[in-house]
Amino acid sequence: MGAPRPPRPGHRAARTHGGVPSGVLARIPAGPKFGFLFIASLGIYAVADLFVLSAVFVLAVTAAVLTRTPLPRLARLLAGLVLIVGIVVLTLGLTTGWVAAAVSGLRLLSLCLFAYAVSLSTSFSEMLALFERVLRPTRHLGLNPAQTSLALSMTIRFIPEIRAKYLEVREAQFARGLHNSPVAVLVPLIVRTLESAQEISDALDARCFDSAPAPGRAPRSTTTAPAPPPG
Amino acid sequence: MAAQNPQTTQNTVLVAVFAALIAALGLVPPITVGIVPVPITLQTLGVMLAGALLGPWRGMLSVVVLQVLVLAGLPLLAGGRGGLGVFLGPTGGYLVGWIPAALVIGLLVQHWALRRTGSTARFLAMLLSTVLGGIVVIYAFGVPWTSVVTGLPLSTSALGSLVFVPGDLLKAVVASLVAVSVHRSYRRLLGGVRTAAR
Repeated sequence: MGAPRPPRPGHRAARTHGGVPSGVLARIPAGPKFGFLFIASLGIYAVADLFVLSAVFVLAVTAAVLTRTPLPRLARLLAGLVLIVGIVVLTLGLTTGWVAAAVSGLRLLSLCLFAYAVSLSTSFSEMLALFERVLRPTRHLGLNPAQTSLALSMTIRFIPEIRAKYLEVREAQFARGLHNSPVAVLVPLIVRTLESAQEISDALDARCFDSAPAPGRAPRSTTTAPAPPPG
Repeated sequence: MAAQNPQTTQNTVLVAVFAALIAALGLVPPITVGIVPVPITLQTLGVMLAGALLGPWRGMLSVVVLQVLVLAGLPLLAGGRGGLGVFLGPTGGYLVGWIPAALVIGLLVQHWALRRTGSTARFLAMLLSTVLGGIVVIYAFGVPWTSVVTGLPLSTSALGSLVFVPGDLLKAVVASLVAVSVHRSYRRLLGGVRTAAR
């Protein structure tokens, strides 16, 4: 797996993961960008003209370049997609016709480039803030915002933990001669994970994590919205 | 409220932990084969396990949590993929299908497979649940999606996906073995607490 390389001094602004996205597109708020993507995804499928789609494709490439992502990283992101699209174009070209193949290929590439441009020019926290805004009405359906953000942040925290545990268990099973047995690795991994989940939820409860706001009491979160009606 | 609180926290933690498990299983590099190459990853194994071990709602929620993070741009899918492009691409349906897959597996396991008494019957029921949810449901989303997005005929898309059936069957077997064995040592995971509450 590609270990994160230390950022080169000249490319400080170009980092995206963990860093701050830069470029013109980063200044547009996430909401309009999502709106554009939604309209683009409908529009691209409504148009079948090769000339228009080529123009849209050029626009999409420009958008991807405007995110100022380093080219090797962009290439790595797109490699799998280009492979799939290439095969689709080849299959379509041989079975249906090359115009249909080109239309399909351009559509897919443009749409995915637009989507990557939105992803690469929007910071992770900005995205989560947008989702939170979109999901706010679900509070009335019984979804607790505090629980949701706890789940999201805890997941990110846990990935390296579980990976380390996985490697640990696998090493132990290698030592026992259980080389390629996924069951022998997964069962202890999951049992240990469940045990630590139990410990963590006990710890959270011991610290009175305010998960379900009691009726009649304002939730402890920072939102200024009124508490949901009881019942 | 005081009695309900620990249960809620515990469920949230379980959902988060399983979302992380599915993501961690994606750190194994993917294999790509076939006409319409969807990479073979261990992540669908994680989806099967989430449904089979946590039940329908918590299992589905852990898939949703993972996908929200992917949608927000974290490279949590196999091969370091992530972001909006993955969902809009030709294989997005297989990804969206994970959500109903976990739900279906959870429902089948909780209400049917875990009620079997013999160990062979239980394993076979578990296997059928993971196959139905983890293969039939996911393909039911993925195959038409690829066909609609690319313009390929449905039959070509279905033919291309057949390449992955052997790998997925293998994953269903592994998931069933693991699920049966974990349920044996952790009975309260789906059996005791949940059914008593209803």
